[in-house]
Amino acid sequence: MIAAGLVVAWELAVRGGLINARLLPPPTAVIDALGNLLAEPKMARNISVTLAQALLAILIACPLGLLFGIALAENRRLAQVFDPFLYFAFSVPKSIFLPMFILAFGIGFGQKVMFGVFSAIFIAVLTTEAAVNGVPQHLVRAARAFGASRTQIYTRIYVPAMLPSLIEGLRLAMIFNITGVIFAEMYASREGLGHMIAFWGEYFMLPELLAGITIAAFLSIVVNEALRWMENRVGRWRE
Amino acid sequence: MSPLAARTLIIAALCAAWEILPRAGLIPTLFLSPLSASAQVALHSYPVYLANLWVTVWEIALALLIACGGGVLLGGAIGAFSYSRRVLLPLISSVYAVPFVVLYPLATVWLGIGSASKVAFAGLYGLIPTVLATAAGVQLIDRNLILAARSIGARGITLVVRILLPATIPTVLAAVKIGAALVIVGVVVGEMLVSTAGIGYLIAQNRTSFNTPEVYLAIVVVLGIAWALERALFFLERRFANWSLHTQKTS
Amino acid sequence: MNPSITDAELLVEAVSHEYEMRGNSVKALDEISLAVPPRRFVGIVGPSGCGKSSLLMMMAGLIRPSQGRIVLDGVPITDPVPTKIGVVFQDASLFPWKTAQENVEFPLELQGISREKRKATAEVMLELVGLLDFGGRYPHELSGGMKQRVAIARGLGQDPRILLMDEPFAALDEQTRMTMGHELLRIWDRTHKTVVFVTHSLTEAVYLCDEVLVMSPRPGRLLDRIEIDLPRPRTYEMMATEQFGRLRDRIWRLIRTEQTAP
Repeated sequence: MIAAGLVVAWELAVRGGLINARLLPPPTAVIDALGNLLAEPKMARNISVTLAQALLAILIACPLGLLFGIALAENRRLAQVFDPFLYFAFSVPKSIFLPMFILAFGIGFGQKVMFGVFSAIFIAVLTTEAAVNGVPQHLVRAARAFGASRTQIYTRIYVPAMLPSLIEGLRLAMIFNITGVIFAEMYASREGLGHMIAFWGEYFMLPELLAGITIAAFLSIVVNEALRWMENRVGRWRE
Repeated sequence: MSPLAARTLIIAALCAAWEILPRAGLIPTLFLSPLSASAQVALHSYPVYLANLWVTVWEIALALLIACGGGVLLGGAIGAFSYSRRVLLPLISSVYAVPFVVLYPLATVWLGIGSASKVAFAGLYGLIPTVLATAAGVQLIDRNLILAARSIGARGITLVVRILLPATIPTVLAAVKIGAALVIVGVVVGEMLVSTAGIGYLIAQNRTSFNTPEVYLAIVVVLGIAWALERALFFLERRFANWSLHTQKTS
Repeated sequence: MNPSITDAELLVEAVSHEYEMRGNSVKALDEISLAVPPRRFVGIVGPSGCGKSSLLMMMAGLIRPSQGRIVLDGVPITDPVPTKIGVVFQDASLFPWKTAQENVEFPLELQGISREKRKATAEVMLELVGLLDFGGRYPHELSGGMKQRVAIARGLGQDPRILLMDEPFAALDEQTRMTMGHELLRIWDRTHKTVVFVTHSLTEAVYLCDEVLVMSPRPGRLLDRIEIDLPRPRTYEMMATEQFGRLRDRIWRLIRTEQTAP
C-alpha cells in the first residue's frame, strides 16, 4: 500500500513539473520502456547471458565451498591458520581483483563466470564451515549409541542437521555471485544485463536505465525469496 | 608452529612468489608484475597515489557517516518499535538481495561523476545492512537488564544513557563493522566504474593502459585501507566493549 | 566387594580411565570393579567429577576404558551394542529435525527394520510413556519432561535388556523430576529391564533404586554398595519415613567422609 502510494506520488510529481523528467522519468515512461525492452529479442539474450553466467558460477562455487568448508571444519589446525585469511578476504572489496581476471581471461563469458565464483566462494566456505561446526556433538554421540556407522552418522545426522544452514549459505552466496557477475558486466563487457545498464547510464537513457534496474532487482529478489522459502521449509524444525 | 607463525609464513611465501614467478618468466608480466616493480612505482609516483588515496579516504569517511551514523540511528529507531520492525524489516531485508551496483549509474546521472555520487552510493549501500543489524540487535536487549536498572531507581535519560546505550554498544559495533566493509566496497566499485579520481579510478585507468605494476600497487593500497579500518574497529571494540568480547567467548 | 560373576548382567572388571586435559593426564576412574545384577534398578551416585558418567559411557560402548574392561554376555564391550543396551542421555539428545515418533523409530531405522514394524513399535513405546498423541510433534514443541519421555521410549525401542540412564532428570525442575521418577518406575514395572541410573540426587537414588553404588571423588573408586530395602511399589509417602532418611544419610556420610578425608 505504501509502495503504491509512493509510485502515485512519483508519477504526479514528475507530471506536475516538480521533478525534472530528464532526471527522473515518470513511472509510466519506465513501464513503457520496460515493455519495449522485454519485447526485444536482444534484451532477452542479454538477460539470459547474465543468468547463465550466474548459474554456472554458483554450480562451481557450491561444491568447492562445501569441500573446503568441510575440510576446515574437520581440521582444527587448518581452520586456525586459514580462517583469519578467509574473514579478511570476505571483508575486502573483491571488485579490485576484477582487473586481474580481465588480464588473465579477457572480458568474455568465462571470465565473468570465474569472477562470480571468486565473489561467492568465501561466503560459501565460511557458511559451510559454520554449518558443520554447528552440528551438536551430543547428537552425534546419541546416534553412535544407537549403533550408527560412520556413513550413517554423515548421512542421517550431519546432512539433515546442516541442511537449513547450507541453503542459507547458498542464498547468501547467490547474492554475492549475482553482484559480482553484474559488476563485471558493468565494468567491461560486450553483453549482459549489467553491460546494458552501464550503457544506458552512460547515455542518460533514464527510462531504460530504470527499467533495467527493475529487471535486475526483480530477478534477484525472485531468486532470493525462492531460496529463502526453501530454507524455511527445510528448517521447519528450528525454533 | 603456531597459527600466527603459519600465516606469516604463508604471506611471506606469497610475497616471494609475487616477486619470483614473474621475474622467472613463469607468469607473464602483463598479468602479474613483480613486487619490486610495484614498489618502484610507489617510490616514484607516490604523490599521485597519495592524492587519490586522499580522495578515496575522504569519500569513505563521509559515506561512513551516512551508513554507520545514520544506519545506527535509523536502525535503533526502527528496532525500538515493534510495528516498524514488523513492517519495515522484512522489506529491507528483501531489498538486500538486489545487486546494489546496478544503482550506481543512477547516482552518476543524478550526482555527476565526482565524489558526491560515490558518497551517496556507498553511504546507501552501507546503510541498509547497518539498519538491519542494529534493529535486530536492539530487539535483543535483555529485558531483565532494564528491569534491574529500573529497580535501583534509574529512569528516563539516566536509563537511556547509562544503561541502554552501553548495552547496545556490542550490537552497534557489529553492525558498524558490516556497514564499514560495505562502504569501502561501494566507494571502490563506484570509483572503478565511473570516476575521475580515487584509488579505484587508478586501478581502472591503469588496467586499460596495461600498466600492471600500477594496478597491483593500487590493489595493495585498497587492501591496506580495508585492513586499517578493520583494525580501527577492533580497537574501538576493545576499548568500549571489552566486556562483551568476554561474554561472547564464555557463552 | 566381590562381584558375583555367575549371574551378573554387566561385569565391570578393574576399569580405570585417564584422559588428557591441557597437556595433563587426569585420572577419572581408579580400578573400579562391580557387577550389575539382572533386572535390578541400580543407581550410581557420587560427587561431581567422580567419573560416574564416564563409567556409564563405557558401559554404553561410547568410550573405551584405559585399563580393564566391561563384559556383557562374556564379551567385552568395545562399541555400542544397541540391540542389548539402550541409552538415555541427560539432555534427551533428540534429533530436532525428526518428530517424536521418528526419533523413537531412529534406532530401528538404523537396524534396517521395515517401516511398518518400526511404526508399530514406536507407537507401542510412545503409548508406554504416555505420549502417543504427541508422536507428530517436533522436539522444540515439547517440554523438558516430555522430551525425556520420548528419549526413554527411544531407548526402549529395541527392547534391550539393559537401559543406561545418564542423569536423565538433571535438567528438569524438581516437581517434574518427581513426576518423571514415578513414571519411570511405572514403566520399569511393566518392562523389568536392568537399569543403571546415574544421578547426583541422593533422594532420587534412594527413591528409585534397588541398590545404590556410591563413588568417591576423582579419581572415582567404588566406596560401597548400599541395598535399598524399601518395599515396591515405591510411593511418595516413603520419602518421609525414617528408613528413607537413614538410607539417604548413609550415602551422604560416605560421600562426605571421602571428601573431607586427607
